[in-house]
Amino acid sequence: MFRNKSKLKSILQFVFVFLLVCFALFVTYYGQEVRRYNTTILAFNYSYGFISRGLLGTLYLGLDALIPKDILNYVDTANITFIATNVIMGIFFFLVLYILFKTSEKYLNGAQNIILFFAVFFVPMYYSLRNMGRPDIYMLFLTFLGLILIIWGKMEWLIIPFSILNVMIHQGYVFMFYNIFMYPLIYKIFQTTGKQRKKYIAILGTSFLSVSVLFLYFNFFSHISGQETYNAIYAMAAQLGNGGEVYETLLTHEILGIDPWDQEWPQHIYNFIELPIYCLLMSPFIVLGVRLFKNIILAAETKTDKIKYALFPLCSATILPCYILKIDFGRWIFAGLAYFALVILVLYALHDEIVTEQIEKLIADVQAKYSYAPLLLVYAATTIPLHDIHINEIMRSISEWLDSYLHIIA
Amino acid sequence: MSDSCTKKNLISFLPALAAFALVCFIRHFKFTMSTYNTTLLALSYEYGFLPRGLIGTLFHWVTETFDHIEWNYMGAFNFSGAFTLLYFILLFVFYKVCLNHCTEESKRNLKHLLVFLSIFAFPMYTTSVNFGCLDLYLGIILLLCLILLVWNKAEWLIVPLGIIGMCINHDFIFTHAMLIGVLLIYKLLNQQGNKRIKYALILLFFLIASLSLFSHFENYTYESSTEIANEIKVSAKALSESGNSYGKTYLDEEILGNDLSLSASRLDQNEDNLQDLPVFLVLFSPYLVAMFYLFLRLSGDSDTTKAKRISYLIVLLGSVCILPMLFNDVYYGRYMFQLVFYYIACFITFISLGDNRVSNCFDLMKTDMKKLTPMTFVWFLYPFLLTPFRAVAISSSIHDLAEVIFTELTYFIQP
Repeated sequence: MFRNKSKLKSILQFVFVFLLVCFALFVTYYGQEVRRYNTTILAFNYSYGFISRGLLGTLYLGLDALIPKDILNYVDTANITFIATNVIMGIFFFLVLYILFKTSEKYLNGAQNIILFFAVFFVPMYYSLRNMGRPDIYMLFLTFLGLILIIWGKMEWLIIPFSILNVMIHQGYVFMFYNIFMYPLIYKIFQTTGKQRKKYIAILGTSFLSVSVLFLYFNFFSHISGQETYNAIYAMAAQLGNGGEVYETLLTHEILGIDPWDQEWPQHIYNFIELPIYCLLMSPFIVLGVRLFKNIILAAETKTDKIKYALFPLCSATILPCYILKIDFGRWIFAGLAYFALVILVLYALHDEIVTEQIEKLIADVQAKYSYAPLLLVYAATTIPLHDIHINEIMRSISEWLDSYLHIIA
Repeated sequence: MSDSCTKKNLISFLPALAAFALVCFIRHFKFTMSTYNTTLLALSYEYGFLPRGLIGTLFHWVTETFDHIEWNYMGAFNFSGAFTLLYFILLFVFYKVCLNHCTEESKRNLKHLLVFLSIFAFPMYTTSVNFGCLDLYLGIILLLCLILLVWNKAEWLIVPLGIIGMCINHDFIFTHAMLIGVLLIYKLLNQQGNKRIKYALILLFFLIASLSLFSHFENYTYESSTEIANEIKVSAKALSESGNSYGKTYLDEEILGNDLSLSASRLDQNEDNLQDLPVFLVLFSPYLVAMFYLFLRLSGDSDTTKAKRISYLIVLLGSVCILPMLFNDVYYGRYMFQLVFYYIACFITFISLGDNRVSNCFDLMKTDMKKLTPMTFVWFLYPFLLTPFRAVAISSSIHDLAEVIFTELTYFIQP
């Protein structure tokens, strides 16, 4: 790994730049607060039964029991969330390093571009006001660990428990991030034969079945009712929230099973306004992405390879039910970005020649043709951080401004 | 690259920047104008030839002439919005003039510099603290002067533009005039015969006019200052967003002549400045080092004439004109923006005027940058993340970091 001095030098130079950019992202977007949604969810725990989203709260209660200090208050919750976020960022950094060392030297430039592009969205997302402490980052933590195993090629069976744990953190994992394991496993099924192929089919099949069953259970059978339970969880959430704030919609939906659709309809309107405008804003990247996948599929020689690469963008469609049923469009957009970026990076580490070659060509082409190419990543950075209900600050400004004139919601 | 590719590239460059400008505007614009900036519109020459009175006088005239612009917050807001739009238009005119005048070989470097300038210039006057501030109007004057200097036509207009700049805000002499002055000196030193005399005269009249007006405004005393302050207070309240507030600090200090240098809020602001500045210098040190080496290369090039060497040295040192503002006032965000704008605009103007040495040195600098940091676009991304520049605070992120470093040792959550 360290014998190739020029590759090592290139990686070290990139690491310096990467850390500088991540530092600038942190300093600019750190929100210094954990909001009520993200503290309320820690009040859910398995003492009330095997309820959805109960894993994090259970672990937190366990931590409270383990350490001598009472941490069931906002300040400690926020501090521990901050520490956990930093640890997960550290795991992400390790994943980045691992991918870079596994990538061929001639394709390092492309991998570094993708890493920076993803970091620009990822780092501010989970340090910012709306999303710090969001269960999504804990799901990504296990996802990063799983990806390290996929690249390493050992103990890949651990993807099954990782997927199960992720659904226990948040049943939305099935739509949001499961595809980040799913496609690399599909890819390995295509790439291997015999026992190896059977192994990957078994891992994919078992994990898919497990997460599907758990999702159905959590969505339809795990709601507990009773005012006493609601009151107990409410009291705990108030203890953990900043100034006693509680996100009541979450409690009524998850504990009492009340559908928030009517209550959330105004936010759906905002979503319908914001999504097409956001797609227009990000159209340069969408165009480049479509071009990339077209070239990848064209470059594939056999029909099997073409199917293998066509499944790559298709697997991103698992997020569609979230767009239809739920309002957190900022999080769904990030999930889509995370899928493409992380899977491409895994393919770099697995030495996929076609994907890496096409990305290098695309980057070289864009840099040669357009003198404003340096602006592309800066332009992407104008749209961060992604929020939750509103996609980002720009979209929030536009949709609220439009609503002030058109009175769509009021 | 084929001719058709180059033409397409040129055609798409400015629209791409325009799209970036629009996104920056939407991102940073908060649909609000600060009370300090609305108060300045209440000043007027009806109270005498007072400092900072020109824009207020213009606003008075506009509200009296045009019925749909009223003497209220929305009128002030729309007035400032119109000039903000003008600022953006002039910025793009400046870019176009520069692109039209530079050589083909230097075009790529020029475009990179224009992109780099845009990162700072686009969001600057759209934030809530800087929207409608007097620096916006000074920026318009500066851009007009730069356009004339690159265009090489009607450069004598720099003198009346300088006068207008001084009437807008007499701090113009320290914050913006330095750029015009050094570029006039650059042109003077690199011309011969009648053209040299022309630039010498323009520079001379520019300096005489600026210094005279500075002396007048700096020593201006108000007759019946209390009455004027009360009248301005009533007018300023009508312009504020709440309808009931005004820039008390400005009236107390500038019109009533009270010394607020030892007031609690001024001391806090000074403390913020002293904390923000070293953090800013450390975070932007790669750019300072790059700029220093660029000037070394420019001066050390064996083909560089003595006249050019002197003019590069004057450009390097010309920014010290801003030092009085750093000692006497608190708007470090605006001054840092002016410094950044100064250096980038100097290089842009040099390349546009056909100084291929600057372009060649940029090529060498980019080669060195690629050796240090394989992803050179990070040099554009990094400053974008740490800006926009604000008014007193240099930028929000730099100020927050400075607070952590100097005030709090732990960066944990505040209940």
